[in-house]
Amino acid sequence: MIEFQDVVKQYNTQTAIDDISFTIGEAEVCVLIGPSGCGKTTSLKLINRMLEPSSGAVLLNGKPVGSFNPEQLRRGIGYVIQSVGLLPHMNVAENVGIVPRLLKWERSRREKRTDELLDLIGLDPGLYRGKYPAQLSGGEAQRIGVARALAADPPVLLMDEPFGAVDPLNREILQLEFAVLQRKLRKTVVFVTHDLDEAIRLADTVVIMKDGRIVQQGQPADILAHPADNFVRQFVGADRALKRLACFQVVDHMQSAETIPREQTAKRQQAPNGDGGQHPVLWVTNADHALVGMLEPDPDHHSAVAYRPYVELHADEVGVRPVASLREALSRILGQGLRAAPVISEEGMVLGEVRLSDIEELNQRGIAR
Amino acid sequence: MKRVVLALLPVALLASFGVFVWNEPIRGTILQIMFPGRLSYIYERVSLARLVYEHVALVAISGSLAAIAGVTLGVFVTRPIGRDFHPIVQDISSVAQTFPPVAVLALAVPAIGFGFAPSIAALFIYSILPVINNTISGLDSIDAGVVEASRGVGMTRRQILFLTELPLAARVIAAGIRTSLVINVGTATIGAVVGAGGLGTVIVSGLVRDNAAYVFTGAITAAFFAFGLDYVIGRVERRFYDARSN
Repeated sequence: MIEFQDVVKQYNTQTAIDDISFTIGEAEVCVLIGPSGCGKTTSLKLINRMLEPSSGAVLLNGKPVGSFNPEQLRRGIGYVIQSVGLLPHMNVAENVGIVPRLLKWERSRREKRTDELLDLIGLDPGLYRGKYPAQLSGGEAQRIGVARALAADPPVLLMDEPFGAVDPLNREILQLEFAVLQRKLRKTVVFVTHDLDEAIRLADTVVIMKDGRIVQQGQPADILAHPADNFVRQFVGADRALKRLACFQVVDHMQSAETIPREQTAKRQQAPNGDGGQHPVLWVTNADHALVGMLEPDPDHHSAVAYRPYVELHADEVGVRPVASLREALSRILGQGLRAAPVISEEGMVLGEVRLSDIEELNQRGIAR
Repeated sequence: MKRVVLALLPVALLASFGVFVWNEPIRGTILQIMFPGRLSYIYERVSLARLVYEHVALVAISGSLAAIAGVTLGVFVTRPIGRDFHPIVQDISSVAQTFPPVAVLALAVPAIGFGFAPSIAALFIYSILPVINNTISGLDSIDAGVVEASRGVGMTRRQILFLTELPLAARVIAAGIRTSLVINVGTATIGAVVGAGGLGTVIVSGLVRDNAAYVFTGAITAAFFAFGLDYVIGRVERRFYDARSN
């Protein structure tokens, strides 16, 4: 879809990009990341010809971007910029409709599309259409920036630190919203950030840059497991094993769990201790099959019974959702001092469990490879 | 109550201005009370209304030419092609505003001659300056990020100018035009010295004949005119921007 071929960008004597080549596949989210001045934003701007390469070429669907008229090219590529991206003298509807307007769509079609997009990003068109950028919160402005980029339904989205100016809490919300949106729209996205957690959360591929060169590229989990050199090792941080767990979803790594109804707990707890704590945890459910407590195996070999006494649990505190990351699951497991965390549905039903041993194994496997 | 008075005051002032200009008996009576014991209170050679028309013509022609030329020049020096002229144009227009208008006129006459044309030329040169200044500073003060964003959505240079830069600088440019016109109204009275007509005619005549009533007639009418113009442009401007401020 997008290919960099031996691209060099020089400013006078300074080299911003020093001969990079890489390919971004269709419907892929590629995150360019690195310290400031590493050339990530410059690379992004070469794609829609905001900048021209000194040598080499950027190809879009096999054709060099230099062969397109720059304005036409940009109208066909969604572009999201940090905060200032909205035009302050135009209201929300005019901002979102700017590319369709430049493409000379009819007014009625433009207005319909604008409302559609505001709905898509979860802002009430009636309420927001007439507002000016100065009247919006940071999060709203960023959502509208995304809506504007999507207006003419371009196949490619370029996003330059789109959530950088938003507070951490809202940033996370915006990232999740974007991930959901992307699953639906399947655009080819080039995303620039310096926030590693953001990259891990959103990326299919990560390209780590330093001083105008690519130091490593690949899937986030692989990079975290095997940093190419000291720079990457430092960049991903000492907690890279934990960060790596954020790349995996609970639903892909859960095991079937054993559940018993509340009224059977007394009998099961008294069962003789055969092999000392080797049993799985028993999750206890009420009449509605919702998690209410558990029986934990007694690790003591000399104990007469298999399980410790019944413990009441709050599903919200110990359970994880199927869409949560393994990092969250691990945190739950450690927080409760257990060996597994129950995976629960929205209604509180036990769907399965994530075991500490499985997480350890996954970690071992990643490092060994 | 206070608000009603404030809203009605300009209207009342403008209405009394109309009566003063177009109703000679009333004007005569007012002037008689203010300046008793004169031979003449009403300038006979030309009607005051006629002088107002001439004055409006002077201001309208020179002012609109200056607005068009000033904005064009301001736009030119902020484009890549005219960027080299930016500092010199800005310097000249700042310095030139300190020239007294009489001097500008005095220099224009030997070059162009007496009458309407040199006055227009002098007024044009004098009132183009605030327009250039404000156009340049209005365009220069636009956040580079906004221009970049406009480029990013696929605007051509022309579209960036007309859809982003000029609308964003419009308020500052409009303020420059307003200043230019108000200065122009006052300066245009000097046009009478070189035979351009206008309200200066009655002032000059009053000075020559030692008739304070004449001088007052011309001065107060020009003052009213300037005030009215400023008020009207201000209103239009405010209506234009109320929607998007904040």
